[in-house]
Amino acid sequence: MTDRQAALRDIAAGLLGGGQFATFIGFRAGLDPSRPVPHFVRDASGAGALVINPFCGAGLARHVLEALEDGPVGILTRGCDGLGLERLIADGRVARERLHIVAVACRGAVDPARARAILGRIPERAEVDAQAVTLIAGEERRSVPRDSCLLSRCLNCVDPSPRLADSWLDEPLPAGVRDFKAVSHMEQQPPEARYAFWARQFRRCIRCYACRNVCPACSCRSCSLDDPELQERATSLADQFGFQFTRAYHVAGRCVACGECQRACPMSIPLSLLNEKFLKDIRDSFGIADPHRPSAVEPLACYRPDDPESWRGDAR
Amino acid sequence: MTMNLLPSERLAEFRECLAAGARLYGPVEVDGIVLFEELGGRPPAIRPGNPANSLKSFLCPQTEAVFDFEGGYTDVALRVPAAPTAQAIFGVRPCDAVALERVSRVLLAEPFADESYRQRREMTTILTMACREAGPHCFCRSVGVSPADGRGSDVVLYPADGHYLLEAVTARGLSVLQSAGAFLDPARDEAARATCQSTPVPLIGAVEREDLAARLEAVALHPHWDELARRCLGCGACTFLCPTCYCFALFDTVRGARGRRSRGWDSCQFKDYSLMAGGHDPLPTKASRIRRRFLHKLSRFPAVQGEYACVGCGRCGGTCPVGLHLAGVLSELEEVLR
Repeated sequence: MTDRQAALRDIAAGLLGGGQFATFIGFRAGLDPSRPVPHFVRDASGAGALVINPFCGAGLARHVLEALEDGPVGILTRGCDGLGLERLIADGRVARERLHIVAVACRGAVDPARARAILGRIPERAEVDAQAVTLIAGEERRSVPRDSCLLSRCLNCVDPSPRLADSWLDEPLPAGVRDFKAVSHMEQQPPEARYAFWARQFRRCIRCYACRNVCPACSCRSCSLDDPELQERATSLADQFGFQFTRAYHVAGRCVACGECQRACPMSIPLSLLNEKFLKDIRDSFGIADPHRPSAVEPLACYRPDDPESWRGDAR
Repeated sequence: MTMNLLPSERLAEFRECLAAGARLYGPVEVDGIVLFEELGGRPPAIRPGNPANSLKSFLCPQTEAVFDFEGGYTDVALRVPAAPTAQAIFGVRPCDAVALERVSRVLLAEPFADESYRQRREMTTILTMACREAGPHCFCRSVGVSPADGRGSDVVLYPADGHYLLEAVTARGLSVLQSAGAFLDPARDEAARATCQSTPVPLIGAVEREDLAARLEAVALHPHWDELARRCLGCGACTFLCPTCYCFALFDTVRGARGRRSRGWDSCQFKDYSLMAGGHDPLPTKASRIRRRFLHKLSRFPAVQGEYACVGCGRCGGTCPVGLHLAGVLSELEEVLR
């Protein structure tokens, strides 16, 4: 057992044993070793089920919304989870003081499907460092480049460690700067090529709304997507574009670029690319270096009476 | 039962022959994922396991028009869509074909047969590729389906080295083989079928098949459903990709004096799925909805139909964002029972 995992179990057991916390959110082993699942520990004796390994892929932030209904929550938190929690706090959905954030530095999570394809069998363990991923099954160890088997949401990550923390399992890793390479490349394409690309992506959307349900910026108690008057359920290509733009615009300015929407999408629609577009535009239009990190100045979420542009569009 | 051999190098011609009188669908790779789509001359991507979507896309479409309407309160003109045309789906896995047979038990049950489904089903030819290798999430044997299952198929192709053994399961399948007679060799290769019949399905250890329904009913009120509910995000991915889920909803789109009544997939995992007009909701919590899904598939449906409403295709396992794999959930329930 790793030191981090032992420390995590101790902290979780301590929080739950103290009586103030109702739930600790982390991961437990899944059906196979490469697929741990989100886990909700309810008493100190259950903390031994918690695991940390490079296969822990799902985002955890969104789960605090329901868990907090039972009382304060402790939560294992990587950089992406931390940004999600910041989002929920900034949106007034979660009170910071009802969380105990157990921070851990993350170098990326392994995509179990890609790992299995590379290895030809289910990997039992993995090691991830800044250069490569090592997949291990039995006696076999194979090192492969990071971009061949990490989750796509982890490849552009510049937030390996959370900014909020109550306990640390290890040393924080420094934050980076988003390069917006993929969306810059997309912007260079002619309109017809961009349209063809998105039409191909959106056409296969099944409207399961997993993208919404995992999103830490989509925390409304009731959602316009569930109202047939507001969101057509039909799935013509025009309706699919309509749905995708509605969802994307609703999180524009609040998206923390955790990439959970893309990871959750059962049809592998590259939703992060849409989010990147908004983030890049916010950076370029408003001069905000890291628009995915919640802050006091969120240009799409504030109004100032001296705004140089009229919100009605009829002034000047 | 008619059996023939098809040399591997003539498979493309065999497919062209199918495409002659029908739209031909099959698994293709699009942006790195395998989907059932119209083949349009592309070679099918036959991989272990299943494409992301199921045959439902072609037999109970995600959304479809029931009718278009136009007029006022008393004088309404209806226009019904054109009848479906012939389609053939190539490279179906046996579990998906068995799923059609399960769905048909419900949608074709008299006296309320689903006319739209019936017409499509009658116009659809299913050409199944038996499995020589299980996919990572497959657990068909746990729910009584075999990698060489012929139920729901018209023709089953059993892959062997250098050729396929073709078996016509239905009269429609027989006519397919007759029309492709020029490519076929009347020789037989029983070994090809036997090989697929014994394809190992590694995941089945996770699911104990004996008394599944009774064991599940025994834990119907166990608090572990609450644990599963905490994990579940409440999206519809599992049900929309499930080949045996057939729930749909009707909805109207009105633009002035005209509009369309459509039907489309609905999911028992959505929070207003069972909300009634009077305000009562028999499935008010996520835990109740998850439990319903499992009990329906593995206990309530079998109680009425004699077979599980799960064919072990593994899609829920491969796609659930939080890993609520049906086989995984069952093994967790076994664990809490011990």
